[in-house]
Amino acid sequence: MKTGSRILLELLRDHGVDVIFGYPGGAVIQLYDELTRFPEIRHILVRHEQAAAHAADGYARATGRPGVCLATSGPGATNLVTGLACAYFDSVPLIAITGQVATPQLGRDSFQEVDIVGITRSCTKHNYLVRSLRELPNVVQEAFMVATTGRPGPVLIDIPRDVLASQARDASRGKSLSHKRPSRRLGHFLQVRRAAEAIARAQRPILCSGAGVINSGAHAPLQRLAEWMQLPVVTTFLGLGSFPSDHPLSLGMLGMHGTYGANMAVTNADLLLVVGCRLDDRATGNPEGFAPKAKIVHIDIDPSSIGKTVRAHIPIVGDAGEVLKQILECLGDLGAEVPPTRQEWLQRVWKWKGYGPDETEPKEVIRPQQVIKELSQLTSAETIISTDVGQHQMWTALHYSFKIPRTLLSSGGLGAMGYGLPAAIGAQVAFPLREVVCISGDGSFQMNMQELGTLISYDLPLKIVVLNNGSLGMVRQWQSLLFEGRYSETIFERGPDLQKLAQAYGIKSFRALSPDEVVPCLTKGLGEKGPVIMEFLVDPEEKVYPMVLPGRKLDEMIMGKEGQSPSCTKAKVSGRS
Amino acid sequence: MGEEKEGGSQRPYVVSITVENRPGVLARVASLFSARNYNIEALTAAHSKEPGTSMITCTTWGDAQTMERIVKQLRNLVEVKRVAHAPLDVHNPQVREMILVKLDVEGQKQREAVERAKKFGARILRRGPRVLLIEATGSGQRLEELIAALGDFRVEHMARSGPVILSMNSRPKRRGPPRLGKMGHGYTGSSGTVKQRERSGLKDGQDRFWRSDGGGSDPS
Repeated sequence: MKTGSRILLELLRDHGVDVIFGYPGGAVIQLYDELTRFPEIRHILVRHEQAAAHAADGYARATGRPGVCLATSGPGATNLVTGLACAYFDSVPLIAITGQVATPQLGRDSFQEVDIVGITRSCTKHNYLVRSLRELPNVVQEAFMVATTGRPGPVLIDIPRDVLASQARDASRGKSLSHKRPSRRLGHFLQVRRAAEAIARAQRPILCSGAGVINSGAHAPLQRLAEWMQLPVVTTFLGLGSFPSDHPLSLGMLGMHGTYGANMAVTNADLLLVVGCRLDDRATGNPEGFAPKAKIVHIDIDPSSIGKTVRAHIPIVGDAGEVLKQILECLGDLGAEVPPTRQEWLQRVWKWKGYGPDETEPKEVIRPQQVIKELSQLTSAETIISTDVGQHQMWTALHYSFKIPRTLLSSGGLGAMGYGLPAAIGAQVAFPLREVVCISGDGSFQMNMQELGTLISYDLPLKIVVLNNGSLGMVRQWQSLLFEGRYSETIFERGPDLQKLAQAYGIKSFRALSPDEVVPCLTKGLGEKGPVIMEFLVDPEEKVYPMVLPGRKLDEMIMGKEGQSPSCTKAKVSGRS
Repeated sequence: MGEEKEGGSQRPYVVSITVENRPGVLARVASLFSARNYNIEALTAAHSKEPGTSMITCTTWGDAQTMERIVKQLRNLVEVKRVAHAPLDVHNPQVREMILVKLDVEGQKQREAVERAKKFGARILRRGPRVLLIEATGSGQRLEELIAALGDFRVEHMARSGPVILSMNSRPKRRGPPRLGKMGHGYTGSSGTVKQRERSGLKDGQDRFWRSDGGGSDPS
């Protein structure tokens, strides 16, 4: 006879789970006891359940395999919610297991009881309350299927403690509970042909690559298509890494803080090939003025993501990689060639690409952009970067050169501050030998800095870069641009001494106060064997540019000093090589 | 959300959702509507013909685009098997509702009430010295008319089921009784194209919804 706990762990092991990020508690004490008999499953004890969810998320984004997190009932479960919502937004496969009070106590407001299935209904792809041990094998099997197929997402399994304690002969696996088949992978051939014809005919095409390209491993066919047909490529924020940013055809990120080149190219394109992204409001700006001249081909595995904000002329439901291969094949059949006008379009695009905000003028204080640029120089293409949320996140997107997929971990859709450190821990656990750098701000870092405890417990050689401006920079920027500089509650009067904090945890730390200290600080920090905190005191006046103000169109960027008043909407262009 | 309401005219729709009968499925469907700021005006849920499945029928307001979005998002739910939707057309005989009305009437007034109710094809379920319980089914509009006609009497209580719908379209190759067609294709809310009408042997003005063969072609 086996207990429910044993059956659950066997099922997880059979699904290839090698790491669980978790935090014990009363309702899962049985499960934690059983865990001692499973040396093949490594458990990472975090310091807060939110970090368990984010770490599992970071693990999943870095590896492409589902991350698993575990928490007890009640507060343990509610602490997971932010992490689940984050994974749900960004299509990250996650299995969250929560303990629950015993079935006879359900619904009686028992100690540490919370209706987590009800709470997470709208921020998980699906969730389960396991009522009896008999259901468990099917539920686990289905949960992995739901989490990893179609548009991936988090699935929560809530298991009462008596189910974990009850005994059964074996995990008998009946027929799957669900009727749902894995979603369609191949695109409809007629739509594919229409798309291929549109690409072959287009005079000013742009390819927009999103996180779906990374999820489906479609970066190779995407690059082949871009190079063959000479399509300039923009990426969404989460699509960074799906196309090498040092490639001549790469224009960087589009959107509210997109590059001048990307936003101008999208606005002037006559064909926009959107692959694996949902085109949210941060990517499109005012949807009325998004790619106004373009025919839009939208490829996504999730039918409900197509046409949600911007209507698609040629919608194609399918796996990004499969559809791109179909399009390549179809273009081959058509004998498509690069039209002679393409060179003209590329010249225009490259001219736009050369423009940017003027951020080169020397300053006494460190420009945060400089830190990111230098970091990009000093790290390799393999380096995994995690970020928190705010100005530093956008500077990373603009100035760090992402070359391969799964190297950027960041909370895009939900924008959850406090994501960076635990996500980096998840990635470092998955890849102990790779360089992992967490880029954070002083605001975000303080949201989950208790995880430094996790870091040292497992000797993770994580490198942490904190851009310290003593304020909540992104909100401050908005207040500066839109609220006449009334900095309501965005300035920290006092912050912790990060050097002493590092010391308290026994972590090495370095600090840079002036621009000429940036490179030495980074070199020393990155050269260390163990974990390091590198702190940069940066100019709080620095803002993220370009910026498209809310409600504006993508080509109405403000680019810096001249454009600080919102009335100046048209981009003032200053040269930058 | 303001933008949800843009584009196209607002009208009532009936959405019919076949779901696996698992605990919490109704809450899941309902919360999809509420989370996206869509209001459910009426809702019925009951077992369907297939074992282990239920049919949820609800009425909501929106434009064609909004409905398309709701339907796509409903299909993403793990427990949802099929979704069909159609504009709620008061003249569509496939959309029916039921009401129970309890009247506080006696004597001559009671006899009048019975007479009036019977004109609407209503049934008298209970008849006591001071009480009359009436059951009626029909289109929403027809029932509104009945309620208006009973307005002269003292209505003590009323219970209304909300509309249920069954599309007459079925896929040609499927055996078994007619079932819901795919959303948007099967039922267009108009009498279809002239060709379709000719094919189905219907003349203009004739009841266009019922087809004796129960089949008909699926325009998709």
